[in-house]
Amino acid sequence: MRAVSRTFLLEIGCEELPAGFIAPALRQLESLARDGLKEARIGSTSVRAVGTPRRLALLAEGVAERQEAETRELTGPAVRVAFDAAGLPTNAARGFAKSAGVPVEALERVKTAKGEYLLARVHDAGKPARDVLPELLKAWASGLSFPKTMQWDGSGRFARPVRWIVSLWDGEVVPFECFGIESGRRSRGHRTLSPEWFEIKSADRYLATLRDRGVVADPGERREQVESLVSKASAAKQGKAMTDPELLEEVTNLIEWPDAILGHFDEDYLELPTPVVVTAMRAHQRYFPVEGGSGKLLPHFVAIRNGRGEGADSIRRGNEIVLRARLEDARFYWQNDLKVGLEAKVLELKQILWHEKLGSVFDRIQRLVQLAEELARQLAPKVRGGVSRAAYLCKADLATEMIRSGKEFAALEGVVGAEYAAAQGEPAEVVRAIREHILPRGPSDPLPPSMEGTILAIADRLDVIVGGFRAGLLVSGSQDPYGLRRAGNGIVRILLEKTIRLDVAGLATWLGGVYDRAGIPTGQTDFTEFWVQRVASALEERGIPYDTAASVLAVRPGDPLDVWARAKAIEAIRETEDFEGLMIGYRRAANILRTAPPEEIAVSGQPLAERAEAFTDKAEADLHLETKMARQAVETYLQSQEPDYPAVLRHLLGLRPAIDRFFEAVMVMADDPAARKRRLAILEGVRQTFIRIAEFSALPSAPGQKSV
Amino acid sequence: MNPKQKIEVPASFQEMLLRLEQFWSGYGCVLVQPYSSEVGAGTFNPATFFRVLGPEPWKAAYVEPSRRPKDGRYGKNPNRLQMFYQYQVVLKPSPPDVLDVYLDSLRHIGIELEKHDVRFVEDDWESPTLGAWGLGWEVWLDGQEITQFTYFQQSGGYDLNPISAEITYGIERIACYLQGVDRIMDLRWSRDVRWDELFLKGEVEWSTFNFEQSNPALLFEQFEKMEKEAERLLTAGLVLPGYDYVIKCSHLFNLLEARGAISVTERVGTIARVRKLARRAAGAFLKQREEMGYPLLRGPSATAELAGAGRV
Repeated sequence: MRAVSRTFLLEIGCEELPAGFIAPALRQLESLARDGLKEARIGSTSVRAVGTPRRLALLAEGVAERQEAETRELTGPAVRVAFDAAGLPTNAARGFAKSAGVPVEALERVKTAKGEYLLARVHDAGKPARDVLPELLKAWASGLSFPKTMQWDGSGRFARPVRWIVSLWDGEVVPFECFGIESGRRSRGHRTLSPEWFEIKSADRYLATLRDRGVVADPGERREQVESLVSKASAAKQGKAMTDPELLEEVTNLIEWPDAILGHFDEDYLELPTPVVVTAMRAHQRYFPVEGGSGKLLPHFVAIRNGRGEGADSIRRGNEIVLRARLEDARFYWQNDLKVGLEAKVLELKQILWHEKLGSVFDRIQRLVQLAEELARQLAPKVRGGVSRAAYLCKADLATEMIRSGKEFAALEGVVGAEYAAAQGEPAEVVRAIREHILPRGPSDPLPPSMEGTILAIADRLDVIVGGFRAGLLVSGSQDPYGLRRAGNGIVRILLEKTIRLDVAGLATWLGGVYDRAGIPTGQTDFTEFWVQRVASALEERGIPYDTAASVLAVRPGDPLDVWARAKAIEAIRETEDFEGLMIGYRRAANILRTAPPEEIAVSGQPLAERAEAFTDKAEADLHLETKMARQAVETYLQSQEPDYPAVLRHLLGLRPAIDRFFEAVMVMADDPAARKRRLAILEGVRQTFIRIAEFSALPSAPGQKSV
Repeated sequence: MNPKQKIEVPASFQEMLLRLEQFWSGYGCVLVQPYSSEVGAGTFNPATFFRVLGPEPWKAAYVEPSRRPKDGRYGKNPNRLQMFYQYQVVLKPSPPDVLDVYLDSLRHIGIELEKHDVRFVEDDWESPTLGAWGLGWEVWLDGQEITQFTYFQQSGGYDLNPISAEITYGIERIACYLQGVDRIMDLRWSRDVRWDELFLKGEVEWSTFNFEQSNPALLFEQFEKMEKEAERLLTAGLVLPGYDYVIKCSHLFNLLEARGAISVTERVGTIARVRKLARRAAGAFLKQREEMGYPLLRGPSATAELAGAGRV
């Protein structure tokens, strides 16, 4: 029989869906259909979902007429219980044959590890796809999930009310019921270009029929149209539209048929800060702002209309009026805020709660100023004055009308503060620090370019973390509701990428003192544990294996750049023959220490040297002396700004002969308690010297080997 | 309605209003008239706040003078006012063709939809003081929000069944379009009298009052007293008088906020106090209707009650 293939269409007709829901819903629909068809053994050459705000549709082409035939093997009861003494089938065998739908005589036997069993071969010729589809279609239509759903008449939940369902198998309706609606062939077109109900003759005519009804159903095609319309319109003013992908995507899913409208606004509004003007256009109205050649904003915008034909002038005028009102609002806030000034706004922060356990935002600012000053003292004393002023002002925008209005400009929190600072004549470095302190907002966001901005960015984030822990905010699993993890990652990124040395853990302790003096009690969460995880994930992202990261983080994890340098040195030596020698030296000392009773191991720092005269063996004295020298060399390296860790590792490697001679010459666990303790103390000295760099026990003993 | 049939544009604001009244009256709505207390939106009118609760069907339409003290601009912003008019329609249950009916109402007031850009843009509506929320859209006409359309999901903290559709027209803005003026101030209210002659002075005075002259100490004191009174009346089983005092609390809160007298911290707490009262009022109303045997479920015999529903 010649294989016949068909096209089928499912269209879920809705009232206007939220723009952001459409693409995810189409992805879901497509994968539900692919998986569903595969599972139902219905072949197809293509399955794709298309849609607009008013419809989510699925088009499958080259769909097989029937389900594929299939032979399934069913295993039944064990042969020993399947036949009686006379060799006749028992009830167990009959029952199995019946349930499998085959005659008892047709049952076969199969040998398994557990013995011999009955086997039935069931042939399923497959049903016509047309008979299987209703169930599938219903499952797909009702199987979509949305971030937020609603009820409209009690028939079900969906993002917005479902008003019609088209379900066609070529030209024939596949009837099913969902959301209280019978599927059919009736659909609707563009709301104003073609408001009447109409019928879709056959599934393969779907896209063309909709086009005649003022609907471009394919989102990819609509997006391209929008993009080219916008660029053409802005070119008319020698400008370039700012088309970020997010806005493009949203606009594409707000319309069924695009047309561009070029609008204008009064040039006076360009005196407002650029982010404010751009926000007025983009945030609520979804207009595309237009830039001139120099990147300067032009007094034009491109709006995308849903439709075509008559009315372009009145639509342009309407949009211009709306934008003017929004810009007028912005100017109202801007001027009122400037009249008051940032200085007064900072005092208003006393009225804004940061966290009930941490006080107001003003309280937070007090701590932030101290922290920023301390940080400047450590990193760049020259910028201390500017940083301190910027820290004092950087949250003042929270109290501005621009942000407190709750209107679209509220999204400029953190961004607009620098604009106010500049407008009231703050020094350039203060403005810069305020502008940059919100960076980086995410893993791919740029870092603060200036030192002032860098210092304030680190201080702001560290205060979020330390304060957050004091307030009992938790970080758990994949959740980061308070942004603590993001703050931590931001600090690590800044320090590593800008190669700044800073003991963050030490600074957190210092900040803890500030909180203590403010009478805010210590929280439950351990900063070090949190911090180690942040640095570990940064090391992992940069290709450091887990075991190396664990070994270096077990020692002084506070300074990410230092941790990174040690990790790099260990990674380098792990590639070489030397690694084995290094590890053998360490392990010989560490292993015997592990088996010794802890109370017998001298605490590090105990003045072994004073008892040097008690050494009974030259190997003891040699190892002791060499360790002491190595330790001194290591400490000298550690003091430098950029410790030469490869050199440090060479010093540790250099202890190997003395260690070997030691073990050849003396018996560590001697009967004489004094000798035993002394020898353990020497070895502990060796171990202590090694673990100035890393916890070597976290590493494998041979090069190239992965530890478990 | 035949979309091709051209309808003449009303010559004045009041004629446009009459058209809306005519349209929704023709649809079977009760024209209940504005409420007699200061409210921030038509949703506060008992014809919406209470009537969306419970199983009884309901169709009503009315103008609501709406006060938003914070939005005053001393009459200087061309379309932001501290007092404006909403045209409110509430349909329960929401009919399946409700959006088509709404678009017809726009045609009925003279908007040729084919020549404009009409959009339904996602908007999740919420009134934290009323404990009410719903999903729906802002309806845009040429980029301007002209209507808020909401499928109510909850009111007074109670889940709703059946679901009501609430249509709230911003009638000054629509009239601006129809009359081809850019500023609300230039609207012809009647054929002879303009909006600014009727309301501009009020905008200046109320903005001055809201932002500069209101007495926060007095407003706080009033709030406390009104809150206690609402509690007392609701405890006494007086649903409508109790609710009136809830509305007064809400307006006092709006005045305090406009004056900048409520800190961000206090804001959340104060809203929660009003919401608690609104929830009690809603619960009391539901109980009352149940005790009355849901008169509007009785079909045509309910006509008598519907006719007298101006005061709910």
